[in-house]
Amino acid sequence: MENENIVTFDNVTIDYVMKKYNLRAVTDFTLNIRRGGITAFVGESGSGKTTAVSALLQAISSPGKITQGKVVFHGDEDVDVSELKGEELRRFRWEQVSMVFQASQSTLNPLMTIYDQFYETAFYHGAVASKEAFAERLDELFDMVKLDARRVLKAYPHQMSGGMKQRVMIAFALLLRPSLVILDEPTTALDVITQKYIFNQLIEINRKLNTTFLLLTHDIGIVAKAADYVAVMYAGSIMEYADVYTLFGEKLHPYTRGLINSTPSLIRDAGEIKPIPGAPPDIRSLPEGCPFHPRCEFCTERCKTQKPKLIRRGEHHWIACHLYGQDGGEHENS
Amino acid sequence: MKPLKAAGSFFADLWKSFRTFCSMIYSNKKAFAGAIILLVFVFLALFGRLIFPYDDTTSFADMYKQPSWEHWLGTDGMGRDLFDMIIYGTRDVMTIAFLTALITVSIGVIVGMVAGYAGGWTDKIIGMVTNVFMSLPTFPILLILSMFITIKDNFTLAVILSVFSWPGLARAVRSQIISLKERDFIQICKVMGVGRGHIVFSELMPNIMSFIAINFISSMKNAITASVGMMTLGLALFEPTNWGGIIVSARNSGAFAIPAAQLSIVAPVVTIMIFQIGAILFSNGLDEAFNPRLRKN
Amino acid sequence: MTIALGKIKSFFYKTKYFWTKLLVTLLTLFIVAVLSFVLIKSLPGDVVHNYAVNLQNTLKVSYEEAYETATRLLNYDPEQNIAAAFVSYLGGLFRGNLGQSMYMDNVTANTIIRDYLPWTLLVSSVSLFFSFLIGTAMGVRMARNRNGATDTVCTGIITVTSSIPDYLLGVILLMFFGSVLGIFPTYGAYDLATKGDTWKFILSVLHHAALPIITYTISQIGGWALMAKGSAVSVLGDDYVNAAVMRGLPPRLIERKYLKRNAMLPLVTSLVISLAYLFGGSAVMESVFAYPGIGRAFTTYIGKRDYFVIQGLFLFLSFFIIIANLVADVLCGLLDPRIRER
Repeated sequence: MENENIVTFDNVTIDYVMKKYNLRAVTDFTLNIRRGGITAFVGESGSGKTTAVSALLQAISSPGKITQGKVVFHGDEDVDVSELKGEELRRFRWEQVSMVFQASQSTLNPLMTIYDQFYETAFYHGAVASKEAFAERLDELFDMVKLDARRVLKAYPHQMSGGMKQRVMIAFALLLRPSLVILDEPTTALDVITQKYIFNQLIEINRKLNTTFLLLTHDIGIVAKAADYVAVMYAGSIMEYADVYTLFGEKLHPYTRGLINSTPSLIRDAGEIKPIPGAPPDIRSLPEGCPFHPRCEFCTERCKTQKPKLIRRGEHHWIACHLYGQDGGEHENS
Repeated sequence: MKPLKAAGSFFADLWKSFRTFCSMIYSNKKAFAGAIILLVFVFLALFGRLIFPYDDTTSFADMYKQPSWEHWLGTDGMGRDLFDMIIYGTRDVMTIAFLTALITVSIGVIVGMVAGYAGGWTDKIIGMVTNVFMSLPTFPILLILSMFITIKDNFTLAVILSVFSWPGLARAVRSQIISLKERDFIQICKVMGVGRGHIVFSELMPNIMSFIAINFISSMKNAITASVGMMTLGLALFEPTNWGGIIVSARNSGAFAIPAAQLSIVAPVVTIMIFQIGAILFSNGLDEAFNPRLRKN
Repeated sequence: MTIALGKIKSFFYKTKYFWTKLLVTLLTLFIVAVLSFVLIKSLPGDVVHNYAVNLQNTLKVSYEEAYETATRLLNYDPEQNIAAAFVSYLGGLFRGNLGQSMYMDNVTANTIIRDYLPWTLLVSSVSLFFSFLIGTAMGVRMARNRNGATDTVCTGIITVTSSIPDYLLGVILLMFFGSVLGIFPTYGAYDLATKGDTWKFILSVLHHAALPIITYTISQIGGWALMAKGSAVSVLGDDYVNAAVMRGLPPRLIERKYLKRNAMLPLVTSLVISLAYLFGGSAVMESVFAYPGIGRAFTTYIGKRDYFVIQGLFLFLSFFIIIANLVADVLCGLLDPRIRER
């Protein structure tokens, strides 16, 4: 009986250990990511979403480390990702979990053709049965991302546009049929039209395959369109987690509400947009209590001193805010 | 009224960039150490002769004396105090190095800026000229030139040495200018209708200041190496107190074989090394300060 | 027919990069030839006349005959108009006649090259070989542990060795190891006495070449190390290396294909260009070691004002450097597909 969750973050804290101080990027992060569908992590830059998610590939950039808790991947067996080493780790990467990086990073080797790079990865994971079978697989993949395999495979990275490269990266991520694909701001560097196109593709692919997508973004509009479940992060802590309809329907957490309300819309008047007051958090010196309290219009004395715990509110709804029943109700994920 | 104001603001900008420049040097250990070494040499070049008076009377009796309180580094083949000679010669060496660097950098920067800023055909022609210069073997040409021109004074030497150094610098300056030209703040200037002269002097130049400084020092470093080389080959006349001159005279009088005389070769070589190390530290340090990626962490 | 033409046209277009480079090279070569021709034309005094007088005495012939022989040998007739003279000069070049000495009958630029070049090549190539290997290995190691002791120590060594001009290093080493300690000989390429015996000859050659080679190697290591370090550092920082790790590629493969290959690229160009400069030798260095290399020969003949020989040697040197530039560019284009597009 397959676990309904694919990943469990169990009270994870990640610190960047520097010479003079520690930077706490992620604090007491507890979350289950459901298998299948698209889960989105929303947050501004510095919210800790990339750091938290890098743990899934044991890719937290040095000098970061997990100082508390563990990240468990529910594959054929439960695996603590940070315990993986050597050959095990090598096979885990890309076969179980893969990632589509931000377009601004040049993640393809400029000296190799696309075909060579795909072949190389497949080969070193023992996934090439025969050249013909592999060619078929490539056709399948490129068809999914709507690219002309014959043209693209012969090309070098610099010969392609940004949009094409991103689609290649998506095909690359799906190559070994992983159970989980992380997409880190996959369309931020692209123009809106290509953005929409690629997202439509992503949603379609997700529906066809049995793969879980973990989407990282700061764009709440994309979340509304693509996600099934949403986790809202702020300054390294999780603020709210819900299925997308509940999140947008109820808008319980003040930060969530702020995010949704600050999005421009074709329908509403420009004057109705309310940006979130205050300045983005400085993770070197986070305030006591709830990290969002300096900018929250509902801030109380309790918010300033006591950090709210993550409480269950509905079947797929968790929230960390003093406004919503800190006493009573289940605590944390059980 | 307007040109006066323009000149005034130009100098104000220049002074400001200079001060930022100085604070950058101060903040980086390497650059600072290098700068100190270089400044010591400059100081010695200017005032060394007053502090350590040099007596150029020759006396074979005092030949190749060992270091003592009277002669800190001993004497050379003609009984002259080695230490004083080196100090005295600093002015000569610095003059050559400075002049060469000045000429090289002036030509290189002007040509580079013209090529980079003007673009189009000017750029292409200048590009071809620099390409040709750069694909010619410089030392053989220098030797050939020496056939026609006897190098008697420092200025001629400086000019000859600069002839082949400026193309490299021009090319580098040109690419710097090109990358700067496309940057936003220059585009803004253009849109605002700011005059071209102002763009060139008040906006572009301060940005390549550090680049120019680094190249100036490198130029000095190369000039010393090249000038001493030419002295060794006998292609340039030299002062006996010039560091290279001391080495060449010593070698010609067979100092190699005489153990007592070896200091007269080692000392000037070490002096050259100290200067070069100062130059290297300074330029590397400055490079690090302006290119944070090069820093250690 | 049109298809064939189309294919030819597209071939030329794709390899456009290479053709442009070739064109520029030929142009530069031509310019150099012109320059050296102009050089001779602008010499003070009547060169041919002097040579003719010389010939007249040695060959004991009439002035007219001597003059004719002179123009033939020198491949230069001041009477001809410039265009014709230049053409015959080029003709001479293509026939391999690089220049006749004006003072010694059996000496031409070709003979000089034949006699002196091998010695220069011996020293330069061995030094380049060692300094490249040691230098790049050092540089890569420095890039790997950037904050460690290795980096600091190596940087220190490099700073010191770069601060001393190569020939002065030669002077110092020659003084200590040659004169003082007597381990190495202080001049020449080999000991004349060993000419008969092959083994002794080879040993003597190596013995004499040792100090120059050591000096060259030490002075060049710094350059290679810094280049290798810079390149390796920038490659290490590139995202595609990290991305390759994330794809679960084995570390050995990454080091080989992603790091080394990409980092070595800029070094290959420098290597090829250095190969060209091998042919020039360092005039000063050879003078310090009294080593019979081509640089020293060049200096000597300049001293003698033996113009035609100088011209020939200069052309020879330039030729190699220019060709080397072309080879380096072509190699770069072949190895790095990005450059071909520009």
